[in-house]
Amino acid sequence: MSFDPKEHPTEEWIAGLRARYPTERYVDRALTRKLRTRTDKAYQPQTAENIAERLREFLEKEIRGPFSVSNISALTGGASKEQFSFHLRWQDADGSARSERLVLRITPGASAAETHRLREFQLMGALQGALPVPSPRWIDPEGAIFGQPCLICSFCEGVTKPSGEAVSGMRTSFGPDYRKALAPQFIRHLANLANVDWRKHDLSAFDAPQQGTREGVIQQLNWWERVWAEDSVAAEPLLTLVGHWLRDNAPTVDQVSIVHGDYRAGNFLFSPTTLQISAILDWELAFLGDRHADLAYVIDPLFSEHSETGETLVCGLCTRDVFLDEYARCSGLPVDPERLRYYEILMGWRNSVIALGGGSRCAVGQTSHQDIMFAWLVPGVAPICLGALRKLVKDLF
Amino acid sequence: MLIDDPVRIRSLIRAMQDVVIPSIAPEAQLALEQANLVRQHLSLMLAQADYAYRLQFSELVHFSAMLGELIACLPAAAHSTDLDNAKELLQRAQPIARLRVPDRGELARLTDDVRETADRILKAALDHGDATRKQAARIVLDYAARQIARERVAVKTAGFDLDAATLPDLKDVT
Repeated sequence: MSFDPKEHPTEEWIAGLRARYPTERYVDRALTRKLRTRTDKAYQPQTAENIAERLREFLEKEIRGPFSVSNISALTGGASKEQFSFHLRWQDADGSARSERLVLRITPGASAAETHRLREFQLMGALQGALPVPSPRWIDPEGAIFGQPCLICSFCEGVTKPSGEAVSGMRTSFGPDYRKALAPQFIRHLANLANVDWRKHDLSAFDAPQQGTREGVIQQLNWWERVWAEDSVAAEPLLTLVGHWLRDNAPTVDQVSIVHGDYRAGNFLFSPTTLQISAILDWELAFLGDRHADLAYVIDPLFSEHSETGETLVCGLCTRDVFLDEYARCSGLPVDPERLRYYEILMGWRNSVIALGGGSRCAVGQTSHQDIMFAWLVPGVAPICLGALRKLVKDLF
Repeated sequence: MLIDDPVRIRSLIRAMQDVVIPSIAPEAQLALEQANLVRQHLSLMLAQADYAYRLQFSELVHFSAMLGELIACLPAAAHSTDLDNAKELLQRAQPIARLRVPDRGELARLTDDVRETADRILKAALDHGDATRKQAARIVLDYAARQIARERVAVKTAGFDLDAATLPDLKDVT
């Protein structure tokens, strides 16, 4: 009987992948952990009872004095991590009563994009005051208490889409009033991100590439080629072809910035009354690299929507030209069309790897709490990703 | 298909079993009963998924044979429009009934093998000279266009595709 190493990874097979696709230390840790914990058993979602017990055990080590945990409830809206909100009541050092609603983000058995909690924890800390992001509180990076790696952060009020907007996959349809209010903020926050001086903060879970080299791009290619080698459930020759081209044509990085990696409608919260963006979420795919990666991601057709007059709007918010012009104006940084083109291809290829690799593996292997979501998303998203990618590369060969 | 029917059905069962059914209040008896029926229906569909097409095919073989024997048992002199239609239908059905139809699982495994092998040959072609690389790239891009078109149509009603309205119907795609 032959074993598929993807289903039953051996230490030798894992070592081979790590050697073949060298990437950032904490990316490697997360991917290696995923493989070492891969089993035939379906992942059992966390229960509120289990969460309550683990939270108490965890917080006893972190909080001096009495505290209580209540109102634990599972949050929707994420396919990647299991998320619960809860109320924490405790006493300050002066004895005054404090209460706060918090969010627990737990890595399931595996997710479409396997990432390390310490990276997003550090980034959320580094961006306090620079961008609206949840405030990180505690972390269990290796799952010592919770069994699975997790972090706790503040709960941010807001919605991701106008009320009544139907589930349609990756697109969000904002009306004209929402667009007018949200688009400038969406662009300004991304522009600010590129100018954050990341060297002033503890980002020890990131390996910064050298400016003026191809190192950062190669790390990205190795990251996602490794994911493809670990997770893909069926070969996809178009991805092989494009991966080959990306490696041959990798550009240098002109300025090393914090890149969100998943910046789009659906990953920010806004107040439905004031239309102010209250939080930028989902920092797990962030890395230090070229800002053009975020620009390329925003303009990916996967997230585009038509306006009432038929114009194509990036992330359902504004036209591509307005987005790029405003970004350049707000950030004071140039948008290089050549680099942008490369990153459109890289991010389109990465989207396909995540959908067809990690997403398919989750559905087939029953590795997360969201098998049903992946079984729904993958067949819907994959042809859009591949179609956009083919369009980008069809004249390159 | 990217995610085949057994995987999709299994994900539905898990969602019902792990999330939906435990969340139904015990006093909501009708909802609980129907939710359990949904789960059981899905379990049966999962058990049948690999063999559903073959079972349907077996029906064609079965009834074609029966029809043939019934026609043969009529007196040679018998004649009617119904009988003529039956003979004509049998002539259409028999060649199909004689085909060998693989189970869905066998078909899926063979398809996966062919895909993997095509990918390996592509990798070899990409390591050759410029001319071979370019030719291989053209082949991949041409076939990708057809594959993407097929897969977009297959899910066009699901709401993912910005241009779904411009796509043909599923019945018209091969």
